[in-house]
Amino acid sequence: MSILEIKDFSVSYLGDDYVVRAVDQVNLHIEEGVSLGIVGESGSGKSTLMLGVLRLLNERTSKTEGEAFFAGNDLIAMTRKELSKVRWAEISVVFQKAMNVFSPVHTIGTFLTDIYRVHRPAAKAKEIRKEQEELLALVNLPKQVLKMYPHELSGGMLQRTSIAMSLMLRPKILVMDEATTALDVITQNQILTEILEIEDKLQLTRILITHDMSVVANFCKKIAVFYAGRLMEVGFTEDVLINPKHPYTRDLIKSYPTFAEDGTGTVVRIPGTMIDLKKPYEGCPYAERCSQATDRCRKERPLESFVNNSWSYYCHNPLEGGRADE
Amino acid sequence: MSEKDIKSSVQEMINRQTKKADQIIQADQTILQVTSLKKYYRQKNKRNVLVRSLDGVSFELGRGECLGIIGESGCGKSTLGRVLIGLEDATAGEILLDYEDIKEVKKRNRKELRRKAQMVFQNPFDTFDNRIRIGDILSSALKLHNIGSTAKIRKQMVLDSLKKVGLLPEEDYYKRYPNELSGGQLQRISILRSMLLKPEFIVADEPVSMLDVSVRAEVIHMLDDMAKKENTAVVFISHDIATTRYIADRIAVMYLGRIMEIGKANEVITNPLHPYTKALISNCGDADPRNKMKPLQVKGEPPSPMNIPEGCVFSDRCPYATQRCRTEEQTLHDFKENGHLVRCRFAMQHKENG
Ligand SMILES: Nc1ncnc2c1ncn2[C@@H]1O[C@H](COP(=O)(O)OP(=O)(O)OP(=O)(O)O)[C@@H](O)[C@H]1O
Ligand SMILES: Nc1ncnc2c1ncn2[C@@H]1O[C@H](COP(=O)(O)OP(=O)(O)OP(=O)(O)O)[C@@H](O)[C@H]1O
Ligand code: SF4
Ligand SMILES: [Mg+2]
Ligand SMILES: [Mg+2]
Repeated sequence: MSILEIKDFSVSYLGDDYVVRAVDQVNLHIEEGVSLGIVGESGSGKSTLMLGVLRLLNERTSKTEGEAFFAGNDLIAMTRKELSKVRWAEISVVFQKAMNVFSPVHTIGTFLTDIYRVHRPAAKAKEIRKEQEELLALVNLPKQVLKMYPHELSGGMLQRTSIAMSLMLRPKILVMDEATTALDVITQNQILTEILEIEDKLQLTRILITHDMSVVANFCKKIAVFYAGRLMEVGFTEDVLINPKHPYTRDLIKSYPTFAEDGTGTVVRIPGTMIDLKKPYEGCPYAERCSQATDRCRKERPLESFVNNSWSYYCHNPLEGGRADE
Repeated sequence: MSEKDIKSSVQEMINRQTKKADQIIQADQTILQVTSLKKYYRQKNKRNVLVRSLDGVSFELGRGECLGIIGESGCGKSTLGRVLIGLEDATAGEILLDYEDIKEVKKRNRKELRRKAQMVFQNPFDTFDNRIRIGDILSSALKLHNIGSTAKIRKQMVLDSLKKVGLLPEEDYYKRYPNELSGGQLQRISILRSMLLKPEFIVADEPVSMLDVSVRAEVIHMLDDMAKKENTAVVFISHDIATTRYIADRIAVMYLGRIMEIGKANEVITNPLHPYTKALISNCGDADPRNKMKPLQVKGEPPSPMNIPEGCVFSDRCPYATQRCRTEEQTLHDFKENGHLVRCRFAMQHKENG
């Protein structure tokens, strides 16, 4: 069953003399309990997509089109009041900017308690406290953190605290936008393993926005690849990462740094830059940089093609041999 | 100073002397000498609790050299960065920048220190004022340090540099406000700004953690190119071990405020000696789902600088720990006599290292 169904979804940022089409007609179904990794180049609209779906964007400077159904209700059509019941309590987000969310003048404990009280006014202090300590343990932090101020914590400790906070109200969907990027790999793996383990128990669906393909490979069931505000390919991680159909997926995989045998490590970049999202264009946004591009790619927007009912891509010239395809 | 402290600083001095001897021909190639650096904080709510964020860090950095710093989150990497560029004063220890104590440089002229030592922060969103256009942010940094004689020249310098880092069309980025850029784009601006002043060394604290891999490569190449061309030394703090290995000449692995292992980047990554480094490297994943990660587990709670274990600071989590580890404080050893130092006396006895 779909827990979140994003339909024909677009977001544009409106400047004084420009319009940036940051998310462009995205269709994405997120199934309950099937963790999804969202990857794509910087500026490809990953954060904007989730910000748009949760209506966290400034309505004066941005325009959202399309629908986003959470458990059958369109988040976009909801009143603000209805929405406020869903946000944080049902769908919670740990942002890239997580370090800014804490109040500099309150201890972490006070801050967390205040938020909890907003949604659960009847809760007892002792219960809250116990809950907080458990959640901190989940993200590998000692309970002393509750008595500390944000500036006394390292970047990674703050990030872990915000992950704990996001689980506080037992949401159905947890969106992690680069939430573990600031952590060392041991801590990152421990936290993701812990979340993975409680997912079934809490019936939690995780959406992980990340630049780290290995995190998706190891911790997400499905992957969605974005480029220039559009969805390029989506499917089960094993399918997409082993046999990518979209040339961009292949190139993105290749640019992932590895420990090469010769000891240098590879840091390969994709030549060229992303198209300017302010300028309208025809065809496929990757055409300028793509090794497979044909005339058709520059003229005609690729529609969704299906390999099977869980795996689809948007490309006129899909790869046959996957990874090895040059 | 306790006897242990004396012993460890003597050992560190010997290590330094050995290294110095190796480098004697390139004597004035050293830009930074850091000795027994300590930074202790007091917690606001519990003034009696001492947070030992840096607890005796020593190393040298050559001109144009890139030292990568990896390690547990909360182990003191950012603290080290802030202390190195003089944003915060050390509790103890010494930092010589170009053979001069940075405390002196700072006392004489803060602006001079800022020009010599720059920092790129972990979080680009906090770095900029959203009311000022990118172009003005960069131009005013130049103006403040008297670089470029006219506004027009400065503008051209800024446009050129925007172009160089692939923020195209450059005129367009010049006019944008910080909140109109994505995290990745903003971080490139941040790196650019620190490089504009042609500093002697920069501390880059997680400069690429918010960039996706394809752009990451671009930024790494840019940082590498600029640093090599200007002979700028770089302290590169990151959790991305593959990238750190790529850009760094040497890598230092930190844990609980101290360096556990330091050596040539390739040596440390392909032939890690310290049990902590081994665990760290085994936790690095691959983008191919067929190669599932086989991480070495480190047991127990993560460490706290408020409560540092006796003996080896890793002994409560180390899979090899013996009784001696829990009582004997460890110092850096150069077992192979090749500048690959490890803070574990027993490192060569662990079977893979033997
Ligand atoms: N307030 C804004 N006004 C104008 N353009 C914006 C604004 N916010 C973002 N953009 C642009 O929208 C595009 C998508 O940005 P977004 O932050 O969603 O990308 P992202 O995929 O999350 O990138 P990153 O990986 O760097 O976080 C980018 O090109 C960005 O420059
Ligand atoms: N102003 C402060 N007051 C008290 N403790 C502090 C202060 N600044 C840092 N600390 C503590 O010092 C330790 C090291 O913090 P630091 O930010 O240097 O870690 P880090 O290695 O950069 O971590 P990360 O990888 O998560 O960014 C942490 O335990 C932190 O709580
Ligand atoms: S000294 Fe002992 S506890 Fe410390 S790293 Fe070495 S073997 Fe492990
Ligand atoms: Mg983002
Ligand atoms: Mg840090």
